[in-house]
Order: sequence, then C-alpha cells, then structure tokens
Amino acid sequence: MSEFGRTTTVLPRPLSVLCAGLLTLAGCASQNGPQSLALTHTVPPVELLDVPFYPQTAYHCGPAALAMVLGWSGVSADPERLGTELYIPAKQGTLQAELVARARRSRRLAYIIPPQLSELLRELAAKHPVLVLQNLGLGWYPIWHYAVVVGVQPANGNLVLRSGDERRHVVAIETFERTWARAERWGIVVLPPGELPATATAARLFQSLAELETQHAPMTTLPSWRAAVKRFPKDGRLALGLANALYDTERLASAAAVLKAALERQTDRSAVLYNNLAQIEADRGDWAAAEAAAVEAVRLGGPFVATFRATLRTIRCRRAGQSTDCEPAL
Amino acid sequence: MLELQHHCRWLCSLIAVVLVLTVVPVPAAQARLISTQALAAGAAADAARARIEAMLERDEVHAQLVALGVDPQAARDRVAALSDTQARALAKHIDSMPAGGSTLTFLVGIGLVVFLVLLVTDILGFTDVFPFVKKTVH
Repeated sequence: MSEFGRTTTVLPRPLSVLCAGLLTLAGCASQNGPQSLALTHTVPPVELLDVPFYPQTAYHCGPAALAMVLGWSGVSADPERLGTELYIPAKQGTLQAELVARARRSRRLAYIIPPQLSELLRELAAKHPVLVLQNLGLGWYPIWHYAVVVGVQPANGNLVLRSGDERRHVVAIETFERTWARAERWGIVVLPPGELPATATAARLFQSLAELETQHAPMTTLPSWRAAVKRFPKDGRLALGLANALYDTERLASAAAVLKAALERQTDRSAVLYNNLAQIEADRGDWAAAEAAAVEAVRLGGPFVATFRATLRTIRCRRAGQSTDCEPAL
Repeated sequence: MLELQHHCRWLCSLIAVVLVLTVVPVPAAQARLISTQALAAGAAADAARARIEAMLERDEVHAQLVALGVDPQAARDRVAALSDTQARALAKHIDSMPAGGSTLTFLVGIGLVVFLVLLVTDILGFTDVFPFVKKTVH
C-alpha cells in the first residue's frame, strides 16, 4: 500500500488530470466496491503448495487453470489437450459451463461457490483451490481471465493466485475483489470423490451430484453421496441419492438401511423415500414391509403420487401371488 | 441469411415439441423407484417436457458452437458433456457469455488511450492487467 502513494506521485500532473477524467468516465471508482475486508483478518494464512502450475499459452488460460485444479484433485490433465477440447475460436476463450462440464467428465464434482469473498476464503481454509473467472479490465472493456486462487495472506491483505504465466501472482485482496466482482464473482471448486465443498448447501450439492451421475456409473458418486448424507442428515434428497446409488450397485440391503435410517431421522421428502423403500423391500422379497412402506408413501402423497399408487397396486398384486400382469396396461 | 436459418431452426424446434407433446401419449404411471434424476428434475410430466426441450436446445448449442468455429464432431462431444441446465443457458445466452482468454495478447492493435486508462486503473488497484505494475509490497 505504501507504494501506492509513491507511484501516483511519479505521474506528471497533466497525465494524472487526464486519468482522473477518464476514471470518472469509466465510472470505476464507484463500481462494485469491495465486500467487507474485515473478515480477511480473521482467517488463517493458507497457501496450497500442492496445486500444480501450468503456464497459459496464447488464449488458453481456462484449460491451464482447469488442468491445475484437476491435477490437484488427482487427475493428471494435459493443458494443451484441454485447450483443443475447450477453445472456442470466434470467442478466443473458454466458457464457464464447458469448464464445469469438462471437470465432470473427469469424474470430479465441480461446484460453483456462492458469489462472496467470505465463501471463497472458506474454501481456501478447507484447503480447496478455487478456479475463478475475473474481468481484469473494465466493465466497458472486459478482459476475461481464469486463474486459480491458492492462498491468502491475511497479515498483508493479499491473495496468491496461479495466473497466466506467474506461478505465484500475489495480488491485493481489494484489487482481486474488484476484478472478481466484474465477473459476477464466479468461482468453482473441483473435488475428488468423497470430498465436499466447504460452502455446499444440501440443495445445490444434490443437483451437482445428480448431474455428475448422468454421465458416470454410481460407483463414482457413491463416496460423495455418503459424505453428503453425513453432513446433511436431515435432507431427504441426499438420502435418496445415496440409496439409489447403492441400489444401482446391487447393494439392496444397504440401500434399504439408508432409507430406514433417514426416515427415522424424519428427513424431508419422506413420501419418495417410502416409495423407494417399498420397491427395494419388494425386490428383497419382504412383501409385508414393502406394502407397509407403499401405503405410507400413498398416504403422504405429493407430486409423484401417481407412481406411489402404482407401486402399492403392483406390490399388492404380486403379494397375492400373481407374478405377471401386475403392471397396468399402457 | 444466417438469421433466416436461425429462425427456421427455432420454428422447426417448436413444431417438433408440439408434435411430440400432442402425438406421444403420456404413459400411465408405473410402479418404480423414483430416480435421483427424476427428483432433481421435479414432477414426472414436467421432467418429460424438460427432456424434449433440452434435446432441442442441445441441437441449438451445437449449431452455435459450429458457427463459432468449433469442429462439428468435437462440438457434438462438447454438447454431450453439458448438463440440461447448462445446455439451456448456453442455447439462450452463448453470444453474451464471457469467454476467459488471455491477458496481454489483446493489446496488439488497441489504442494508446485504452492502454493508459488500464495502466492507471492498474496502478490504482481497480484492474489487474499488467504484471509489471506492482500494487503491493511483496
């Protein structure tokens, strides 16, 4: 900060007048003021030395940043190859959505953190590097750039970034906060199976894991579902996700146990849990338990009640000894 | 001409949606597990509609990526990697979405004024374009 004063006094007077005028035109002095910086004094110093560094080539800062967080998460990634996979020629860059999608293809949970500096610092404190989008330029002259935040130095108010061709780009938190705010404070953590974001909410974690599962076998998501249920024991969706992943990997007894335990904890969405418990108990041949669960699902109702009724009908039909013709005709 | 093609694509998509929604009968509910994806998508009927829309939106994103210079086969793989939500967002806003690129190569050919503005805003700590401007004591 002491250099700040010295640098500006060096500028010749006409130039500084010109610049002041331009700044007013740009409106940047008033735009997106830094979020509370007081909180940075309360966080512990962090620097994640195990995040590899790949200098960017030409326009490939997105692939380089992604390769760094993937490397940290245990996937060796070649930034050159990622570059050819993710580059958009006419835009001379990489889209945020494609970075997230590419991380997911490598069996990693890519989670968009809440857009606040305090949340970014929470991820750092949990030893998770954060891939961020910045607008290094101005609102009317954007220079979009991806970098990876790997450290915070609360004592001197700095962040440490892997950025461009600098392994350790040390930047004042105020400056980072401005460049980050101009990119709507977008940042992701890319995590190995079983590791959860420090800033996760149950709802968004469920969405992210459900999306990850559309592309990979449930074996990939199982450790993360387990961790998620442990962290949010009252959330019915996460319990259902874990039970379904267990069911899909042929672990019927464990799946039933997860659902029963969740129902005992009185999670939300219990109707759906009862329906799935009914199906699993039916598969295991415990018809009494299956029917009891299906009855409960129908009683609780909800948007899937038509399915619950069909489940109950089929279970009663099969229990009565008719192994075929139990499904309604289409 | 390009705009005409664009309109046509949307018209075709619309017709396809209407056809699918009116001609394909909605099956009676079957006894089944509620899948994780079904729960994520919401109620069953909405989910079916969303799926059809997502398919059309993926075609749209594919066309846009190709128009932006991506190889058609590679674009197919890239679209497949997107989630439905992402495909939807890209189909609508790909033109206005930021694409992170480089820091300095952009400077070739731009005016001295922009350079000066960015230099000064860098010194003041509003921007972070030039590595040679040191704003903090290291």
